[in-house]
Amino acid sequence: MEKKYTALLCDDSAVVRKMLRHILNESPVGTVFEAIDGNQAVEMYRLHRPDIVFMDIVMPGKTGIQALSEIRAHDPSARVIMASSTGTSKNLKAAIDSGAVDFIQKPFEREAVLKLIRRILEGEWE
Amino acid sequence: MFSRLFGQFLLQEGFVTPSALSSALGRLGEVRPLIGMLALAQGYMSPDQVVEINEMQKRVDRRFGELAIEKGYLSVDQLESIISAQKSEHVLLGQILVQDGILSHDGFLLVLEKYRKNAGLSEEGYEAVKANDVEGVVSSILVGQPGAGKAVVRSWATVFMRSVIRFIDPGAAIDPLAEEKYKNLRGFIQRMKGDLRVSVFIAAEDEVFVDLAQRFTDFDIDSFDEMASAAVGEFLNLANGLFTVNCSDEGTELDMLPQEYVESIASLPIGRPDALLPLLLPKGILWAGFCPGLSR
Repeated sequence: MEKKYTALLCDDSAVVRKMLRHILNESPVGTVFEAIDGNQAVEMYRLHRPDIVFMDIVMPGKTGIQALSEIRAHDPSARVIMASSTGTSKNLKAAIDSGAVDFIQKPFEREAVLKLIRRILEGEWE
Repeated sequence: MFSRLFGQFLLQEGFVTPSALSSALGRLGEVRPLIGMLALAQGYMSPDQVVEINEMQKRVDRRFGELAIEKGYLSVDQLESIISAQKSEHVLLGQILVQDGILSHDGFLLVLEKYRKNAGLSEEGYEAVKANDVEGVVSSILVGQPGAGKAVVRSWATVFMRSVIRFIDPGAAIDPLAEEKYKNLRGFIQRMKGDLRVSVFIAAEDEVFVDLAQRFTDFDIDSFDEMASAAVGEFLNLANGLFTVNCSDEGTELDMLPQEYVESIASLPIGRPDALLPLLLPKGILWAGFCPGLSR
């Protein structure tokens, strides 16, 4: 598998970032950047322009939805997946309205994450 | 309830576009549930029967329920159970998508079946939850506690215990005889605000937290280090996330704040919790408390 893509993982929990990294090892993502809050996520996005972003919602300081809006304002083609344990309708709507390409509920299911990556990065539908 | 939200599922499976979903979600509060959609979701009527009654209603000014009973598609008992059933957000969402022409009645039923099968609960976890009468166990431990009569407290306690069974230990149990000694333990607290202001804490001896962290992540964790702390905090976040989804389905919106680590539960300005669960795990007791207010 060619590891040709880059990803940014934004979550204040080190354990969530590590879990996602493990899953991404099996994907065509080769380079992974990490951010621990919304501010850092916006900065890292500007710096690295990753192909895909996984963004938590509940974080100290700037929330994931705020960071998503700023990233999309900077790059309207940014592909940001919101990844949260609180998948309420309100959060889902806020994420979509702010430009998220998808929303996944924690805990991450390996297959679901890999399927999502294939779909978003390579346009593969199953 | 451990299901991923129906809307997320529709989006991930490509049944709706983000804009169609956002538009439908924005109208959830404006629509009344239709008997036909509820009958379909309950498995009482087939899509063809629902469409047939809808067509009949265009010709005669009569209610859906009356016509369905007359045709023998619904019994009076079934109609009553549909009417008295609680609001179900996924059915309302399906209803809007059918009305918008994005899904057919057949399509809604197919999607619903797929959704139920993909509810995100592993077989092992599901069997464990089924085998444990979680609600019964939780009700018994809540007797005599301040929040015993509050639906939201019972809901939290049930979701929390199910999360422990599902993500940590299928054999987890309540220890009704545990001596109440959680106040000097370290722990984590997460506050939630919105329609209610509540806080949830967990507390345990280090070896309980380390074991919990290892089971939750499958990583090698052998001391209460940064990774163990992150894992335990994330478990609390996950259980509370499921609780907020449950609350949202019942019409109560809660926003979670980031969870915080505390060296000692006694340092938190909380009184007697509305509910306190002593959960027996392989290495000892995990205490979980639900407190009114933001505890600040």
